[in-house]
Amino acid sequence: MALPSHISSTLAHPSSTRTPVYALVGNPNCGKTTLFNALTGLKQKVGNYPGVTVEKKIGTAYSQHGQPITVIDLPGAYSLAARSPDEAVTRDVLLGRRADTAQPDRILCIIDATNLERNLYLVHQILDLGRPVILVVNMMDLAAAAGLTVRISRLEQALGIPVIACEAVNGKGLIELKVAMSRPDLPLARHAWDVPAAIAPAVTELQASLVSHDCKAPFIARAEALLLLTDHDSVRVAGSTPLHARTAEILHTWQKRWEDEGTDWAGALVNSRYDAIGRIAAEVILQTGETGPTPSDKIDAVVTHSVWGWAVLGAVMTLLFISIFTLAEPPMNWIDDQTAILATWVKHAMPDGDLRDLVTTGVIGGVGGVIKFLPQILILFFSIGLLESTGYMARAAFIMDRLMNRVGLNGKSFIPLLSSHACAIPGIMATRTIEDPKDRLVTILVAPLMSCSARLPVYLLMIAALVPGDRVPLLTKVSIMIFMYALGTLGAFGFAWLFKRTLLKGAPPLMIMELPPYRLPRVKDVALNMLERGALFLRRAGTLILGISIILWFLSAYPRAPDGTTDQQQLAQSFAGRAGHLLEPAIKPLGFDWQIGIGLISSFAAREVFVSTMGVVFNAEATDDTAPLRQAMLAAKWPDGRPLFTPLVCFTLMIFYVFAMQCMSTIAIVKRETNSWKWPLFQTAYMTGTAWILSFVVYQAGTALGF
Amino acid sequence: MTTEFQTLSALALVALAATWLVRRAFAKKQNPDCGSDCGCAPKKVSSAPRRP
Amino acid sequence: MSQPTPSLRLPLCQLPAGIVGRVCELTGDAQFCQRVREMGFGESACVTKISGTVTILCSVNGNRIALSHGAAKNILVEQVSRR
Repeated sequence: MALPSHISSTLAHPSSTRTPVYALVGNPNCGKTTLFNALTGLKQKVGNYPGVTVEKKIGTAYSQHGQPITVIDLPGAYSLAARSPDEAVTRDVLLGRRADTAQPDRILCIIDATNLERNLYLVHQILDLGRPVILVVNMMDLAAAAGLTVRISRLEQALGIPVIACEAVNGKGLIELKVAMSRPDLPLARHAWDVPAAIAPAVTELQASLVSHDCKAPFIARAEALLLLTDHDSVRVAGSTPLHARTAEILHTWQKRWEDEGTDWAGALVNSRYDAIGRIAAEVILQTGETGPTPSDKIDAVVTHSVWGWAVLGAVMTLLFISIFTLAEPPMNWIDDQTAILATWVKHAMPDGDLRDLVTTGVIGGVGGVIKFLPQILILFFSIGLLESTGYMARAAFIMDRLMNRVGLNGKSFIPLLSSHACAIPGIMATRTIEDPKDRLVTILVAPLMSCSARLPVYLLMIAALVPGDRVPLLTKVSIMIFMYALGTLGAFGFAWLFKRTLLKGAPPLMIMELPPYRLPRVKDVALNMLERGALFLRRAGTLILGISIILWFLSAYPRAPDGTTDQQQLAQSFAGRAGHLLEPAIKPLGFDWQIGIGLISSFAAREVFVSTMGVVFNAEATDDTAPLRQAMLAAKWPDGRPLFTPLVCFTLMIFYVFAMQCMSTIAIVKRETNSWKWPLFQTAYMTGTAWILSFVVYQAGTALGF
Repeated sequence: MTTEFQTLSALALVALAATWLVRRAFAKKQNPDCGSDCGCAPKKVSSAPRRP
Repeated sequence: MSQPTPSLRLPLCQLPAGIVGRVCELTGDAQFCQRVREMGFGESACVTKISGTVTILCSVNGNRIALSHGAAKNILVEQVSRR
């Protein structure tokens, strides 16, 4: 077949008019992101593919001669026969189907040297596209450690494309790769594999129809024909470019014929690819060393053990939560002290008046109260990042699979749920790797029940108010906290079970998940990710929370009461006070008064706003003679003189926060992910309804029992 | 700094914050991007280590 | 029949740990079969069972794959040898 003209021109003038575009593709866990970071360094732009929440990462690398090269990092995929939304993005970009992303000129394929055969499957499909490909064999060091020798020159001969040995983690092979990427001419693959005889005529016929009826380029048409014959669901393969009626008819005629003959057409194609790969692998891989158990095998013997595995998971989780408290305490106290010093300074520097009140109570009190939790949030993100980068996260999913199966989900749903402990938004975004749409929806619906970092400030404040004494024993704090986290998790599982049996019926999905080998964590990458999230949290505190705090101050200070009234009377007749009073009948059965009502209303924007609201409501300015918020809250009383924040009320309030959907950002992201308002509204209703009912039961039962 | 001046400037700040919050809410609707909440990656980052 | 013959077919979940099996048939729906084939569990692929009876862990082509019980049940293998 003659080369299509666009390919020859790309080869002749790779960079004469515009920057060449490389797509970086590979299986999950093959070191693709590390290579992308190594190639592009600080020159990255992260956005989203319109219509789906799949991250779009584009970076600029520089050739040996300093010419810019654009690199698009595509989501990891095992095959071009896409099953999940992010795999579909990879397929569509490579096939030139996405209007928002130019079809890449060249493809950079990265594979894991320790796992050559499975990784070559995707390469094999990509070579069908007829684009110039550079193959990067990553993790050569790990392969050598496992006693494998990968004969790069043999692989180059077999495929006919440049093959570069690489250790992306140490930057080895990067120079050779950049030299290859700067080459003006790249050979096309000597890509011969025998399409099974029974299937070959169908490929030819479909290709011809895709060219003439669907207006595809010849190589793309062949690749699409092969994909259509690899997947039983032709609508899914066609994706955003539905098949022409004639092409669909040809496909159905062939499928019907094979089914009548009893030919397993889809299996035949995959198997023949694996046969071709097997022949290449036999030539390329030399087993030189011992084949005894690898370090990963030894670790897995304990970590995935049916008894020890649970013990390890429990220990990891406990360690995570204890470190959140112990390590974060000194920096938290420091932040507290600094806000107090700042507030005192402002008090001394300004005369009494509204502006001073706004700055000390609204701005410093409100924002400072939230910023204080930065250390804990950093630790949480760092720990979760560490668990992911070592490879433990996949093991945790493995351990949890049995339990998840009981509620109708599989282990894969565990990773989004665990990430939701940091924040529901990345958790919900992580559900895009779940293949079954119903399971994905169930996971999205229950993910916000996992206690996120925004609930931490609320829990901590309530624990401080709940446990008497100046110094709360660490064990008490940790156990109450673990209880709240466990309650949220239990709630998530319970609702998943319910939804899988009622609204979104379906058998438990079958899990097929790769467990990557254990690796030393890339502390730099994890730390960068943590700092990025920390910066986002600070930005949020400095923008959204600052704005809300200022408005809240106004709502609690206006309309002004006549001179001589107490602060309490002023608040009661303010806008916020009136709103709280309006809500009071609905929350009184939970033991909450109108002042807590103000907190509940304002924290609908974001849960952590509850803390700053309490600061404003109870007028606990950050001062140097710290009578902190806790004291102010403990002094609060009902009109009849009963204390407001009894241990039972604090406990009930925590339970309310475990279940209530108090986060606008989550509602927005669920709307985008499910592409309708139905699910976020349903989610808000069921979560807040459950929160009310459970709080009611707890408070009423607690009162009856005399607490 | 008189009390009146303090009241006026405090109210001006409140109005500014309110305008900004309203504009922010509307800007979000026009731009379907992820935004700037805790789970969204920033537009330009030094490095974005995520799962490949 | 009390003595297991080498050609005895059994689902992957019942293969003892540490034993190598050769995939001889994939049951279950077409989507599932394609997925596992693409992950390397094609007919005639050699699989080493590592552990587990409910959620199982096995190794194929040198990579470690976790399969839920329902998935492992659908992969029929014949016992080949001890690793």
